[in-house]
Amino acid sequence: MLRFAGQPLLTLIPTLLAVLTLAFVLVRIVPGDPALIILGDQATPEAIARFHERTGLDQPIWHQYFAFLSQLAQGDLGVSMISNRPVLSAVLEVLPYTLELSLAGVFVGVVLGVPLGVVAARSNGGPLDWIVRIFTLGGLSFPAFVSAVLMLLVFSVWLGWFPVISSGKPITDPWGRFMSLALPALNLGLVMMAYVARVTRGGMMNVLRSDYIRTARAKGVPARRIVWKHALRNVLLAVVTFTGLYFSVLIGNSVLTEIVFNRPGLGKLVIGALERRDYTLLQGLVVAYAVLVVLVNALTDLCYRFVDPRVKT
Amino acid sequence: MSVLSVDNLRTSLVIGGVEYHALREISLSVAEGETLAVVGESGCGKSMLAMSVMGLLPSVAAITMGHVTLDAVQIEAASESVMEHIRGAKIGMVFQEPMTALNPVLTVGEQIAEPLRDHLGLSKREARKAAVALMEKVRIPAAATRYNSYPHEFSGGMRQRVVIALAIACRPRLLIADEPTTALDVTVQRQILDLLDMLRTEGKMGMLLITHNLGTVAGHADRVAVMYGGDLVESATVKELFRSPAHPYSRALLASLPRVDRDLSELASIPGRVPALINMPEGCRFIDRCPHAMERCHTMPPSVAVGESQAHSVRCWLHVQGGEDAAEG
Repeated sequence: MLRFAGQPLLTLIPTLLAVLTLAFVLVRIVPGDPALIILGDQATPEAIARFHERTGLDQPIWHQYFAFLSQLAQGDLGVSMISNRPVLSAVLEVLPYTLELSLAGVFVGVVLGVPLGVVAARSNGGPLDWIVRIFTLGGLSFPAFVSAVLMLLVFSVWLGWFPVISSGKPITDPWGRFMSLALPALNLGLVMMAYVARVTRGGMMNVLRSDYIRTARAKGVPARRIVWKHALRNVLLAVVTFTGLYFSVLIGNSVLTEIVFNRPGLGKLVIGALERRDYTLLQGLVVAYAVLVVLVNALTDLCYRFVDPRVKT
Repeated sequence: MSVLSVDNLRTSLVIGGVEYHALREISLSVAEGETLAVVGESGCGKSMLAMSVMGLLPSVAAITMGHVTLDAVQIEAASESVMEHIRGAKIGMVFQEPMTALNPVLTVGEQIAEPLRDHLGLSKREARKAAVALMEKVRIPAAATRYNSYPHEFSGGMRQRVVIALAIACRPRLLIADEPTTALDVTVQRQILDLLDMLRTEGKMGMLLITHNLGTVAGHADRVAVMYGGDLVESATVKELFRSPAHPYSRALLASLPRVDRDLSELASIPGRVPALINMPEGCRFIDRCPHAMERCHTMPPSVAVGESQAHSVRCWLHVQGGEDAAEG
C-alpha cells in the first residue's frame, strides 16, 4: 500500500516546487505597491520605507524567494500584510467550506452525469438521447454565474426553499449546512454533469461495440447487466480520468460560485487579497490551491489503480 | 437426432433502404456429438450464419425467411428475453479473437461463473467451485489461484481456454466455434482444437466449426458445408468432399491447398474476389470466378442437386439434370 501511494506522492515534489515559484513570481508581477494601498497615497516616504522593512519587501528578490521557501518548508505561510494574521490559519479556517463545495460539486457532476450518459447511449439516436444531448449542450453553453443567479432567484427568493445567503453554518448544524451547500453545489456540478454525461455517452457507445460485450451477450447476460456492469466498468476508466482533470477546473470555478452565493471559502479570500495587494495572503492562497490540485491528481492516479486492473500495482 | 437444424434460412440486410440477402436459403443440420465445419473465404457469410443462429444479428440485419430449430424448439423468432435464456445455456460460442473477447476489468473466474449463476441458478460459492472445475477441465494450470486473475495476465491460448470454459459452462447442446484458432500460434491451435474435440465428445455437444482452414476441416470435422457469397454451395461428409468435390468453388478451394504429394508449382489460386453484397450477381453468385459458367447461371440462382449418397448436396446448375456432362469438361 505504501509503495502504491508512494510513487505518485514523490512526483508531487518537483511539481509543487514549480508551482510555488510561479506563485511567488506572479504575485510580485502584479502591478501596484502594497505599501501605497495600505498606507494610502498620502503616505510619507519614511512610512513606506518602514512598511517595506517590516514586510521584507526591501530585501533583494532572491532573498525574499528563499525566505518564502524556507518558511514554507516549516509549514509557515507567513503573516498577512494587511491584517497581520497568520496566513495559514486564515486559509485553514475557510478551507473546509471550499473543499466541501468542490467535493459536493464533483459528486453532483458524476452522480447525475454518468446515468444520463448511459441512458443516452442506450437510446442511441432515440428521443432520450436527444433530450440528454440538448440538456447537456444547454449545461455547457450556459455560464455558471448566470445559472447561479437564476437558481438563487427561483429556489431561494421565489420558492424560499434554500437560504439566499449561504453564510458559514457550523458543523453542529448539519441540516443548515447541507441546505446552504445544496444550491451552490448543484450550480457548480451542473456544468461538470454535462461534460461527464458526454464522456460517458461516448465511452459507452465505443464499449458496447467491443468484442467482450458480444461475448457477454453470447453467454446470455441480461441486457441491463451488460450495460451497467460489463460496459460501465470500462467506461468508468474514462470518467475517472475526466473527473481528475476537471476537478482542478472545478476548484477554480468554485471561486465564482462562492462569491455569487456569498459563501465563505478560499474564493472570497482570493478576491480580498487581490484587491488589497496582500502579497503574503495571495501567495498562501496560490499555494493552497496548488496543493489541492496536485493532491487531486495524485488521488486520481490512485483511483486508476483500483478501477483498472491493468495498471500495475 | 439433430441438435441444430437450419431450414431455408434467409438473413437480410437493409442498407440505404434496400434489402440485400446476406444469407440465401441456407439449410443444414448438426447432429448430437457431431462437428459440422462451415468453410469459405472472408465475406462468404459464415459469421452471419453464426450470428443468425445466436440471435445476435446487428440491428440492420434480420432473419426474413426460414427456420432455426434448436433441440426441437424453433428460435428464429424468439424474443430477446427468451434468447437470453438460450444463449450461454443451450448454445455456447467461442470467438476468433481471444485477446479482446474477455472483459478487461473483470476477473476470468467471475466471467466463467456468471453464466453458471444466471442459467443454472448456482449460489456464488457453488458457481466459484464449478468455475474452478471448468478451468481445470480446459487445462488452465493452477486454476484455483488463477480464478482471481484478470485477462491481461493470460496468454492468447490461455484466454481462448477461458472463453471455451465459459462457452461450455452450462453444458450447451450446441457449440459454435467461429474461427477459434485463427488468432493463435500454430502450436497452440492444435491443442485448442483437440480440447474442443474432447469437450464435444464428452458433453455430446453438436459443434458448428466455422473456419477457412481446410486442414482444420480434414482433422476435426465430420461433415462440411461450403459457403460462398451467402449461399451454401456444397454440403458433404469430409471424406467425400475431399475425394470428389462437386461445386466449382469447392474444387478451386481444394486445388488451392498445398499438398506434400504434389508439386508446389501446381498450387492454384481462385482469380477475383467475393463480390460485395450490394452488387451480387442475380443468378449464381460464383459466376464471375467460375470456369464453367453457363447461360442460365446468369439469370437463375442454381437449385440444389442431391447426390447418390443423400448426404452430398450441391447448389450448381452443372449438377442439375443434364449438367453432369459439362461438369466433367
